[in-house]
Amino acid sequence: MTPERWQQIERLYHLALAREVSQRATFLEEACRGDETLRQEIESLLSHEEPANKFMDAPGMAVLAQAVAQDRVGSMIGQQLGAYQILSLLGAGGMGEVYRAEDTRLDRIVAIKVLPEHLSSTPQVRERFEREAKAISSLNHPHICTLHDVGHQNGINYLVMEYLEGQTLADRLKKGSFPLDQVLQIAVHIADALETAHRHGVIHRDLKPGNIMLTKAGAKVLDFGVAKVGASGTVTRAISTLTEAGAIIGTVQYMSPEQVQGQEVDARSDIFSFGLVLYEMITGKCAFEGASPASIIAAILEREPPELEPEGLNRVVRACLAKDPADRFQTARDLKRALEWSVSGDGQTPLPEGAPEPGGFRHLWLAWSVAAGLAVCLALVAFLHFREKPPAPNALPELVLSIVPPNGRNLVRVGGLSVERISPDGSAVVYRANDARFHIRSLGSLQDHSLPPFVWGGNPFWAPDSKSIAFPTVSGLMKMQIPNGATELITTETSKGSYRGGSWSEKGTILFAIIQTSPAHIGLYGVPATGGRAFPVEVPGVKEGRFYNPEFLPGGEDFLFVFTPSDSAEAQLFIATMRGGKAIDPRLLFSNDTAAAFTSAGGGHILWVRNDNLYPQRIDVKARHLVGDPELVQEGVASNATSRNAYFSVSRSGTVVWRRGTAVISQVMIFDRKGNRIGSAGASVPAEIIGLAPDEAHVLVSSSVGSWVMESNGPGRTSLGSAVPIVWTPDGSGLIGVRGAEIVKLSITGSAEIRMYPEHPASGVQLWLHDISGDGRRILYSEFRKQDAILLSASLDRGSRPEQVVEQRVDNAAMSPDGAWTVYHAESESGIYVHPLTSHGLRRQIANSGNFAVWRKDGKEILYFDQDRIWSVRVDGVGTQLRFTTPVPLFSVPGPLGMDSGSRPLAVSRDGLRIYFLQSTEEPDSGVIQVRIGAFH
Amino acid sequence: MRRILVDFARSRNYLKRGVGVRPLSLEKSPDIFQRTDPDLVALDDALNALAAIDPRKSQVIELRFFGGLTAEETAEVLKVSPDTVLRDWKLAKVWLHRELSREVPHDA
Repeated sequence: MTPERWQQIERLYHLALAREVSQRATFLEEACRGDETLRQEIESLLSHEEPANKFMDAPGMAVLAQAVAQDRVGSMIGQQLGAYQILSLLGAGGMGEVYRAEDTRLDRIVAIKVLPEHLSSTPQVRERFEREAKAISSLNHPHICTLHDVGHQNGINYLVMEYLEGQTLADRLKKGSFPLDQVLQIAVHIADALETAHRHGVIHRDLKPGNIMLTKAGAKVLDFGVAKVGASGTVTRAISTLTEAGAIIGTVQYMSPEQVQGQEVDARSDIFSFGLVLYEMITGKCAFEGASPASIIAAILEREPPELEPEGLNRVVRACLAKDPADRFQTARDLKRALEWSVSGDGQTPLPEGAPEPGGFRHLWLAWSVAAGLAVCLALVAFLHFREKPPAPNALPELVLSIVPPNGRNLVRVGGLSVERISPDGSAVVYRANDARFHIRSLGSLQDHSLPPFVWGGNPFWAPDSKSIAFPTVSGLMKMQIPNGATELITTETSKGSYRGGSWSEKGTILFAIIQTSPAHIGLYGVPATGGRAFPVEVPGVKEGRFYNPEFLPGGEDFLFVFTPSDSAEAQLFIATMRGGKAIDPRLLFSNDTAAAFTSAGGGHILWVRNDNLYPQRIDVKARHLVGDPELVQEGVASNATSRNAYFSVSRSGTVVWRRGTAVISQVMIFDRKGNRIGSAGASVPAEIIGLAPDEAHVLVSSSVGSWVMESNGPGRTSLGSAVPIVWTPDGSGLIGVRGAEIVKLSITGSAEIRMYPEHPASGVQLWLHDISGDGRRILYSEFRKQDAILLSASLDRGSRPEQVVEQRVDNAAMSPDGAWTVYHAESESGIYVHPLTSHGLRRQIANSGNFAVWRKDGKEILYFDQDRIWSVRVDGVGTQLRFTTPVPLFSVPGPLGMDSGSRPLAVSRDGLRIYFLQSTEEPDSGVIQVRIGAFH
Repeated sequence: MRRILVDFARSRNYLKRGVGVRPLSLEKSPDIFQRTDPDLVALDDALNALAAIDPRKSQVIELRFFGGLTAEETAEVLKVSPDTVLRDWKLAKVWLHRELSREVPHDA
């Protein structure tokens, strides 16, 4: 069955289900239009609807546990296997049963493990079994449980092993942790056993407390390699004592990351498991705990267990538990030596070598654990770089950390500006994820803390005491206390234009930059951080242009800013002093595409990004000039020249936070209906929205950082003004866009902006324009308030009132050419809906998923994007009698990276033959924030 | 998680029945419509078939049934709404129930 066919079945199934049982047959008869197979398929599904209700109500693990409980075990008691008389059952489970038995030839007690029957199935399997068993039996070592013999009788395979008296480490651990001297003694025994086994090419694969026996002669490791012998290579069959569901957890808990992922394992997998056993002996707790196996697996893959004492053993444990086998001890021999060193008490534990860096750098994974979600967890991992030579006793090592948003969320960019900022004291990072929330990641306590959501919050900056952040929202500039999330409005003036960054001085003044149309030469504003009236800050000697990214230096007077003169494309970095509400003594430092930041570390540096490289350079603030040469500290830092922004920030002490990447660019590609690329429009620019001009010769490309009109098949481009244009006027003479709470008309050259709607803009409201009707008289827009959003349609005639279409957050609502319908994606419902605007029809769902729907100008087709494909829905009929076909995929195409629900990456020509789609060429890494501590000293 | 549970179930089936016997058989339950617990091995096969025509529904089953996630957690992982997860869950169960029922010989 094809996915398209299935989608059709699914649609009709739901439609039929919504009807009375008695009417379903008639409905299907009609809906399937004689397609008998289709009808039968749906009827067959419907017949299972009721019985499936209770089906699979119990989770998978409970199902398995119940089934296992029903297995009969112990059936071998009293039987003779070769020379062995079975006496009693010691344990049982999926890998077979273990019996106590008497060796009648040698008159001794042995343990016999009876293996599953499938091992005898083919000569090849048997041969392998015997070869492996032979290798294991060659392991003659005081801390390995000896394998005496293997046998085969009446379709039963069995292993004869040394019978040990004592208790397992697992049983002993139920009473808690061990004294340190015992930990070391047991650990050295196990490491010794591993070393011997690994040298003989035998990997344990299932090392865990349940497989370690504490006897009078010391620790003994059981079941070496049995996981492999017993199952045909699948480690997951190593589950040896499954008497209840919890036992699955018991085994999963000691697996290495490569094991839980089902990859090939080698000796280093045993070393990981060893680290977990060691951890548990020291702390009495499992390193990776979780309520469900899924959460344990997530923890193994993503998390680091809490630090432990003493430091010497802590380092050994960390070096065993590196996620990447290449970063662990490479041999049990090294591990054993490290353990013995840690006993000697000088703390200079030898650490694993052979890390990937050249020049003999040594790595130690240093890590912290955090409470995190289930599937993908927030992980913060640090590499400690030790220089080739031993570090001086008090030198701080340099740390590079990664911060990953929890629960599989991504980092967002807001208007092309970076939103990850380190606090001035270097203790925490604020970032924004795609859950509309700011998150605070404290580097000290390692808590990820999410703050209350704001629909349009972005681009935060810190208070100098690192106890609050400030950021622009729909209502204005807000400040929020950390960590309690209490918010307060500082000023509404930020909504006068497009916000371009802010800074909070030690003297309690906030400076922010906006791009506004009139007066055009003002771009910097000041406001007391306690709230009040914002005042324009004129910079003497600076002509008309745009201001970006003010940044106060310590002391609260000197500040940096970026300025682009109107008559030039050059971005200039200035330093100036703020005194008495005025900027005085501006001094040009140099020209640079993006923002710069200051740190007092190392005697005072400014940092900036050029060609994806981050450079710090000493600055003499008093003399206002740079000292010495810039020195590259970090390559691959993302930036965005159009918003004059680079994705980094720095603390006073020199901790740098950045996003990996290069300069952000995207381009409009033109495809035919089969997905062949037939052209591109204009140059690469940061873009989120595209709009095809009525003449189909020009394409509008816009984002909140800038807008351009490009030639539909050429390189031409014109930069437009400050409002965000969304659509063309139907006659193609101009563009219509949004600016805060207003909908404005722009000339194509961007020279004039005329307010079209509403007559009296409201404060605390942000508008988003979706579309304009074919006659140019009605608009469709969303109104955002703090928490909610409404889709409205309004006539542009004076004095008329807007009509509510639907009260929900709607993305990309497009109008039918006659203005009677709209097609949109509703985030809360998932799917694409057609909703009446002026007609009296009913709302209809036309697709189960997807977004970015556009309505062809001849009204005959709706196109949308879903799961890396462009889909088509044909539209028939007029007025209230519209009919929609099942969606058909046209071609596959990757969506622009970082595309969010407000993007509009798709457009189509009137005849439907040319499809315009936005493609990203570069984007900053949206998964990880990098943190570097100690780059300056 | 799915792999671990299914592999385990499979090795158990081997242990009990040897190789080549379909795990779902008459002895288990003559009336498929009374069953509320699926055979994990058969379910695994059916899930693979479902993944071919509707990967998301198969993921929903995997995360909820095998992974033990709630509808909300599943929604979070798959980045869809909880309502979508519930709808997918229901239809996927119907589909799987139907597929697993086919394993029963007609003369049962």
